[in-house]
Amino acid sequence: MNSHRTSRNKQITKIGITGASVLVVLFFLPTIIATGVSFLLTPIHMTETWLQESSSELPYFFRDRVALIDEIQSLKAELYTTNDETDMLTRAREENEELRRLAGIATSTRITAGVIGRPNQLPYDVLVIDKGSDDGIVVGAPVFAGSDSIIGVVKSVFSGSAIVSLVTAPDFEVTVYIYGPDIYTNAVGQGGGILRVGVPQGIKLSAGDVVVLPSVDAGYFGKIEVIESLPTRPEQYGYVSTEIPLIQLRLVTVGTEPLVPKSFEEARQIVKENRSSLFSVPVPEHILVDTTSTSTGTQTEAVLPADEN
Amino acid sequence: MKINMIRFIACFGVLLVGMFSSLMLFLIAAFIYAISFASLELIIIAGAIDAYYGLTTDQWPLSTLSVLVVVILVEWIRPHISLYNE
Repeated sequence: MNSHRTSRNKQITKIGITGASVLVVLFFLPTIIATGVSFLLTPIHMTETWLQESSSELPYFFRDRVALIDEIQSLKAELYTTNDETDMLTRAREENEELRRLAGIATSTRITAGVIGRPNQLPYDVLVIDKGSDDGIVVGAPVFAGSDSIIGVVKSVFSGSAIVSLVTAPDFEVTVYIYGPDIYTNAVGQGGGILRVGVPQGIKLSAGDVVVLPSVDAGYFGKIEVIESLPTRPEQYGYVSTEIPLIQLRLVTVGTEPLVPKSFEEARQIVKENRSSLFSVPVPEHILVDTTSTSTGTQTEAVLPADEN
Repeated sequence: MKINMIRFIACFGVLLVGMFSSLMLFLIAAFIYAISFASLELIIIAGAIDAYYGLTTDQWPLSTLSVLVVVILVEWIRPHISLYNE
């Protein structure tokens, strides 16, 4: 009996020492473990995404063998006709259009990256992207969905992949500006791509009010979709979600420089620029009718320029 | 040799469950593994999961702490469920 108790105590001591060692390494040298794990997991993430989303024949075979056979037959028929569109071509065309759009956005200040891990596939509210330090990704860089919708910041970088911390992660606090009531307030992440803004009762909060993050130059986040307001509570809450649902996100753009803390004056300037850019449209000069254009002294019948479509 | 191979495969399976599914499923897998084989490597797996997702800078390392609890619980109940043969 004593020998059993002694060996059990030894086992518990071993567990305690191992646990303490792992926690110490986690807090002081996490990158060593993370880098080693990334070599193992990045190929698994990429393979999983390829099998689930690629339009190549092999992953599509595993997804739906019957549909693959039908599609092969329809593709054979499509060789002789030009009017039929298959799901595979539609998907490739949509992906092509999205890549072209992002290529227009991806300037020297942005890097386009594919999403290979989403919050619904991972144990934590993060994204995994397929670009890393070899491609110029740096820790602290902002991550955008589309041209100017910020969704998070790069938390850790490996050679071929990176982890993105979302602004909507639970308990993640950010400063936001709400157009409409025109106020600065703090927003808290709720998980699942939802941000909650809280303001006192009495401030008019409406569905559709635009929310931006003034800490980022292109800091548009989304619009308030649901408002929770009880007369018995001193505060009211607005729930904001990203324009593109996170589970549908396939491509993101990443800044090349880490975010720098902004002063309040800089944040005000960003809010002002965002306000004008949100409601401005780049109308060509020969179409725009503006008071700054020159006018002749004679009265003539106004002829509106033809709209080019 | 065969048991070591099964143990290695099970350990890898627990790692994949931890990396690609929820914390609850990972804890269930860890509990079954700890009962069947051993416990120490589970702590290292949980630490690897937390380190990979960068949890240590701004959040508690939930996987590591919860696996520690599971492992200690298993060690506590193991004598009560084990059968000793002469």
